[in-house]
Amino acid sequence: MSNTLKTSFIAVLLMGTALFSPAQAQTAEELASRLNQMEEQMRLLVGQVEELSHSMRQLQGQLKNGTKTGAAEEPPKLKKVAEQPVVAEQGVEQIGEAPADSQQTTTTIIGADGVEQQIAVLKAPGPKILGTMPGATAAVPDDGGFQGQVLVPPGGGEDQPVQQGGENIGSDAIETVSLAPESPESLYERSNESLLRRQFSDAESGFSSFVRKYPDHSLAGSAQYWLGETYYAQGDFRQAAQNFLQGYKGYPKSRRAPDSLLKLGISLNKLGQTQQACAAFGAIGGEFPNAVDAKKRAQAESKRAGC
Amino acid sequence: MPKFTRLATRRNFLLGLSLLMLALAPRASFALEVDVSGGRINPLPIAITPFLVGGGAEEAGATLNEVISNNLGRSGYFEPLPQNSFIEQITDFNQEPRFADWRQIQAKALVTGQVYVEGGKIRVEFKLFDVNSQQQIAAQQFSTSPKNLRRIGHLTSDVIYKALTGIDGYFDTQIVFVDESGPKDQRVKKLAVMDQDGFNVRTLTDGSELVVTPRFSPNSQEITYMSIGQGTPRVYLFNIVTRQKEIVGEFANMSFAPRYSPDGQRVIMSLLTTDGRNSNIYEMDLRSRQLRQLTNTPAINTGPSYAPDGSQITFESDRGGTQQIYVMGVDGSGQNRISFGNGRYSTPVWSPDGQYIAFTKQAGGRFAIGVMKPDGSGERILTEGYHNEGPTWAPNGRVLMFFRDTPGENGGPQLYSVDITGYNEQQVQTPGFGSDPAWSPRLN
Repeated sequence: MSNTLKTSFIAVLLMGTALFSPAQAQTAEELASRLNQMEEQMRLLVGQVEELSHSMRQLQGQLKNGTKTGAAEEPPKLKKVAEQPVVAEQGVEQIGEAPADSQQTTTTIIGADGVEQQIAVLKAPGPKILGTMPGATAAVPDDGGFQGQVLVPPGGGEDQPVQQGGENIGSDAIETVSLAPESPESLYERSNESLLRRQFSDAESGFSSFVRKYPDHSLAGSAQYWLGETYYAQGDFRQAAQNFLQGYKGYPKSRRAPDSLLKLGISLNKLGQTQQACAAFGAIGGEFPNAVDAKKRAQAESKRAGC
Repeated sequence: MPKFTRLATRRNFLLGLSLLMLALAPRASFALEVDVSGGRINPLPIAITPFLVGGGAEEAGATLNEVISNNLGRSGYFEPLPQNSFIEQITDFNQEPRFADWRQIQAKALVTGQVYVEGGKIRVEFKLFDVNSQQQIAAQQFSTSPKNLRRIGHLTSDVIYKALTGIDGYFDTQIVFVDESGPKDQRVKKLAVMDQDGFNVRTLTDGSELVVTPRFSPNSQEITYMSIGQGTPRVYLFNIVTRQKEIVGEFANMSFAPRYSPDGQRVIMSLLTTDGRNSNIYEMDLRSRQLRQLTNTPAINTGPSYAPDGSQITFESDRGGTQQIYVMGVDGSGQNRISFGNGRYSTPVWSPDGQYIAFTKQAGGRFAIGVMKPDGSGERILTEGYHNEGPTWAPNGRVLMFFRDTPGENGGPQLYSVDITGYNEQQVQTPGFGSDPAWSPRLN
C-alpha cells in the first residue's frame, strides 16, 4: 500500500521535472547555488557565535573561580586494594578472608575425595550460568512487532555467508562457583594427618598457616603446639623451642599450654640451655597446678636434666 | 625449692622468654595495591604458576597460563614474572604456598590453579594470593565444555584484575572490526569478530559488499553497521549467531553512522538530506519502527553516540564551519558545542562510565585520538600521528582501541589499543589489515 503510494509520488515528481522549461531550470539552479552560499555563510556565523559564547563562558568562569578552566585533568585513580571491600560482584562472587564468613559457609563441602574435600561453596550459591547473552541461543531474536525484512544472503539459499572459523564462543554456558578458603577445622585435620605420616614440611606449612590465619580459633593453641612438634620431630630444637614458647605464652588457656611449656623445657635442654630448661620444668607446677600428667613428666625431665 | 629461689628462677625464665620472643617478632605486612602515580602505572609483579593438570587436560593448563599472563601483561597494570624465576614449584593446589619463596622473587601477587577433565567437561580452579599479607584474595571454580577454555582464561583474568585494581576487568569481551585484504585500490572488506586478545577470529560477511562502522549491541549478540552493497548505502542489523541480516529502514537516501542506545531498543544514525548536501540525526525505535528526527540544521550532523545513562547524545557537526563535537538531550534539545580546541573533531564516543567523550582530532594534517569531559573541559590527547581514527571504549572505560593507517603502497590500517592515561600503546594483531574496531560489552 505505502509502497504503491511512494511509487506514484515519485512518478509525479519525475513528470514535474520533465515539464520544467530550460529558463525555469536555470532559475532553479541559481536558487540552489544561492541557497548553498547562504548556508555556507550561516555556518561561518554559527561557528563565530559558538566560539564567542564559549570564550565568554570561559571568562565568566575565570572571574567566578579565579582559576583557569579547561585545565588537563588526571585520569581516574585506581582504587587501592587495601581500601576496597571485597564484595559480591555481578555473576562473580568473591571471597574475602573473613573468618566468620568462612566458618559459616564452609559447612558445605563438595565431594569427599582428596581433591575436592577442601573446596567449600560460599553461601552455596549454586552454579552460575555465564556467558550466554540474550538472543545468543535463539535462532531469531524475539522481535516483538519488528517489521523490518530479513534479508537472505546474496544469491539465496545456496550461497550462505562464508563461515570461516566456525563456532561462536558465548553460545555455550559456563558454570561458575566461588571457592571459599579451606575451613580451619579441615586445615587442622589435614596438617595433623601430614604430621602423623611424617610429612613434616606439609604439616609445618599447614599448622603455621593455621596459627597465622586463625589466631583466635579454639584449636589455635593446639596448632601452635603441633607446629613445635613438627620441628622437634625433625631435630630442629631451636625452632621447636620458639614455637613451644609461643604455644605457652600465646595460648595460656589452651589445653596444650602445659605440654607446650614442658616441651619448651625439653627442647631447651636439648639445646644445652639447662638452666632455662630447669626454670621451665619448675614453672609448670605453679602455672598449671591441675595439669597432672605434665607435672609428672616435668618432674621426670627435671631429674633427667639434673636440675 | 625455696620460695625466693623459685621467684628468681622464674624471673630469669621470663627474661629468657622475652629474648626468645624478640626472635619471633612478626614480619611487617603490606597491603597489596596497583599503584598509579601521576597517571603512570607501576605494574604489579605477579607470579602465575603453571596450572596443575589432570588427565586429558595437559594442553589446557599451558593455554590457561598463556591467556592469563598475556591479558594481565598487556593491560599494563601487571608484570607477570617469568616462570624460570620461580623458586617454589607448586605441586598441590590445596597446599598453602611457601610465601617466603615468592617474596624472594619480588612477587606481590600469586596465582595457583588446576585443571582437569570431568564427565566431558573441563574444570578449572584457581586461587589468588597477596604474597605479603599471605592472604587468599580470590578463588573460583569454572566448569564448561572444553571449547570455552580460552574464555575461562579471560574470566580468571577478569577476577584477578578486579581483585587487585578495584576496577572491573575487560578480558571476557570481543571486538568486531572490518577485516581488510587485497591491494589498496581494491580492498575486500569483511565484517569480522574476535576475542579481545586477537584470538578466535571469525569473518561474518563474504566481502561482496563494502562494510563500515560496525557497532555492538549492548545486550545481544547483534551488531549494526553500514553496508555499501547493491544500491544505496544503508544501515543494517546483523545477528552474529544466526548470521541473519536485516535493514533498519527503507529511506530514500543513504543512512549511515549507526549506534545502539544503551538499552539496545533503539538505533541512532544519520540520514542524508534529499539534496545530498547535508545530513541529520535520527533515532529509530526498533520495536515500533518509529523514526524521530533529532537535528535540523543545514550541515553534516553525524556520528551520534549516547551517554551510558541514555539521557544525552554526543555527535559531530560542521554547522559552525568545521567538524566539531556537540552534546544534546536525548530528544534533540539543548544542542551545545563542546570542542573548542585548535582543529577539527569527529567520531565522538561516550565512555561506559559516562565521564569522558573520546574523539578523533585533525590538526595540522595529523590525526590524534583524545578524550575530553562531556562539558568540553579536560581535553587530553592519547596518541597522535599520520593517521589515527575511530576510538572505541573497553567496557571498563580504562582502555581505548582505534585504527591507524600507514602511508605507502603496502600500507594499510591496523588496530591499536592505548590506556586512558595515554601509556601502554600497542598493536592488536589481526589476520590482515583491520579498521573500525568496536568493543563488545562484557560477555559475562
